[in-house]
Amino acid sequence: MTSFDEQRLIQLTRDGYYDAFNRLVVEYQDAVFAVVLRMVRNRAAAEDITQDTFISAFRKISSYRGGIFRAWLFRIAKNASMDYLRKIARRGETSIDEDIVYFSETVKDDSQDPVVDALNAELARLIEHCMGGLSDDHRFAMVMIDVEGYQYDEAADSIGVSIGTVKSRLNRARARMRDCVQQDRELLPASMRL
Amino acid sequence: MVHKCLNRLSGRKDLSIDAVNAFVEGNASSDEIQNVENLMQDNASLKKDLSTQQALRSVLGRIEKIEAPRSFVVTPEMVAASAAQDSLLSRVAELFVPQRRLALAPAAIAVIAAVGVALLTIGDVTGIVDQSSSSRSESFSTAEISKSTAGGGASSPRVAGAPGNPGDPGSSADMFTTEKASSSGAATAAPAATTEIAAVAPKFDSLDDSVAAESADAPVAGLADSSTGSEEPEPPSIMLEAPTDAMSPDADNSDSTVFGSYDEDSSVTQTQLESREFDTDTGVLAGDGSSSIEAEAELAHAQDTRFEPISSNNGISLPLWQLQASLVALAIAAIGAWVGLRRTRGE
Repeated sequence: MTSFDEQRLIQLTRDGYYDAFNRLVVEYQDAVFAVVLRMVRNRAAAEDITQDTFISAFRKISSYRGGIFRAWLFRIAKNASMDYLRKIARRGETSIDEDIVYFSETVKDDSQDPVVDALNAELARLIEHCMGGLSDDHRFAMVMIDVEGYQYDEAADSIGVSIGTVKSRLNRARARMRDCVQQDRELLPASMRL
Repeated sequence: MVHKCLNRLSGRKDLSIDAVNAFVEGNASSDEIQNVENLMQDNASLKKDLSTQQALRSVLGRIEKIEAPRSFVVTPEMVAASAAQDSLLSRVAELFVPQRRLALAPAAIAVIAAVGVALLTIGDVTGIVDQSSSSRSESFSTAEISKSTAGGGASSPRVAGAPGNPGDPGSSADMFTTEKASSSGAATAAPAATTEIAAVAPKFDSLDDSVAAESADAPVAGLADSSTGSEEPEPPSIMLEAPTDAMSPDADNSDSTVFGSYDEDSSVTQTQLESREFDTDTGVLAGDGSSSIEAEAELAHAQDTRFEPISSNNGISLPLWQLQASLVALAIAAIGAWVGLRRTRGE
C-alpha cells in the first residue's frame, strides 16, 4: 500500500466509510496484534485489546494529525495494553508468568535436529521469562525495536517519547536481559557464553 | 555526570548510549566501531557485555512472527457498542468498582473538606459567617422583639398565639419543630408579654444547666399543665423576675409555651408542640386575620435575626480560621492518602 493510498483511506474513514478503514485494519492487524500479544502475553486479552484498538482508532480518527499511521495505531494499542496490565496488577488476578500458559515465543531455526529444537524452545522460554521481568516501558521498547524490527522514530511515535528516550530504554532493557539470560548460561548460544 | 568525570580523569573514553546501541545493532560508523574496539581491548567485561547483547539481539530477531488469529474489521455495531460503553454513566459506574472504593474514600473526604473551606471562606468574605456578630444580633433581636411584642400585645393579647404574629408562641413552636430547640428563641417569642418580659428574655439565653436545673426544681407546673391542656398554668420560678402583672390571665396556654421553652429538654419541645395543637383545637387561632402584613414582615425579620445568636451560642465556639485550617489540613491529608493509594496500585 502506498502512502498516498493510506492517506486517502484515512480521509475516507474520516468521512465515515467503514470499508476504507477496514482495509487499513487488514493491513495492520498482524502488526498490532503481535505487539499487543507480546506486551500482555495473553491471547484472549490481546484479541480484545486489538479489536478495541481498531474501534477506538475509527472513533478517534479525527484526532490523527498526520505522521506514521501505524505508529498512531501502536500508540493506541500500547495505551490499551498498559491499561490492561495496570488493571490485572491492581486486581492481582494473575501474574505475568501465569500468562505464559497462553502464549509462548518460538525461536526460528532451519535445523531439523530435535536437540536443537529443544534447545531453541528452552531459549525461547528463557527469553519470555526475562522479558516478563522488564518494566512495561522497557519491554515495549525492546519489542518494537529488537523483536518487531521497527525504526527508532516509529517506536518513539508509538510510545510518545523522544528517540533519545527510546534508545535509553532499549539500552537498559538489553542490559537487564543480558543479566537475566546469563543466569542460565547452558541455554545460551556459544557466542553468549563468553 | 560523575561517571563521565571519572572516566576523563582516568583517561578512559566513555561510550555513549548511541554508540553502544549502534554497535550492538551493527549500525555503528567506522569511528564508533574503532572507539568501541579500543575500549574492548582494555576492558574484557565490556567486550563480553557487548557480545552478549549482540547475540541476544540476534536471538530476539529470530523469534517467530505473530499473525492475527482472526480478522479485526470494525462494524458499525461495534462502534455503537463502544460509544455506549464509554458513556458518562458507565464511566461513573466504573469508579465504583470495589477495588477503587478505598482510593475514592480519601478523595471524597478531600473534596468535602475543600468544599467546606470554600463555603466558610465565601461566608467569611461575604459576612454570612461572622461569629463576632453574635452579640450585635442578640441586642438587635431583643430590641426588635420588644418592639414587636409591645405592638402585638397592645393590639390583642388574646391573638398573641396567632401564627404570623411576632410574639407568637405558635410561631415559636414552629421554629422548634424545624430547628433545634432554643431557650432564648422561645423566650424572645414571649406572647402577649410586656416589654419587661422581653427584656428579661436575653438572660435566659445564657442560662446554664445549673440554672435550668433550678428551674426544673422550681414549680414548673405550667409545663405539665400545658401538656395536659391546663387552663391556668403555673409559671416557673424563673419567671418570678418578671412583674407579676405580666402574668396576665389572658396569656393562658401561650404563656405555658413560653415558660416551658426555657428548658431545652425535648419533652418541653413536645410540650410546646402540644400546646400549639391545643391552641388550634380551641380555636384561639381563629380570627387571626387581625395580624397585619406589617406584623408578618416583622415576624419574618425577627425570625431571621433573633435565632442567630442562639445557634452560635449553643454550637461549637471555634474561631473561623481554626475551622478553615482544620479543613485544609484534612483535605491535604486526604489527598495524600488518595495519591498514596494510587501509587501503591501503580496507577
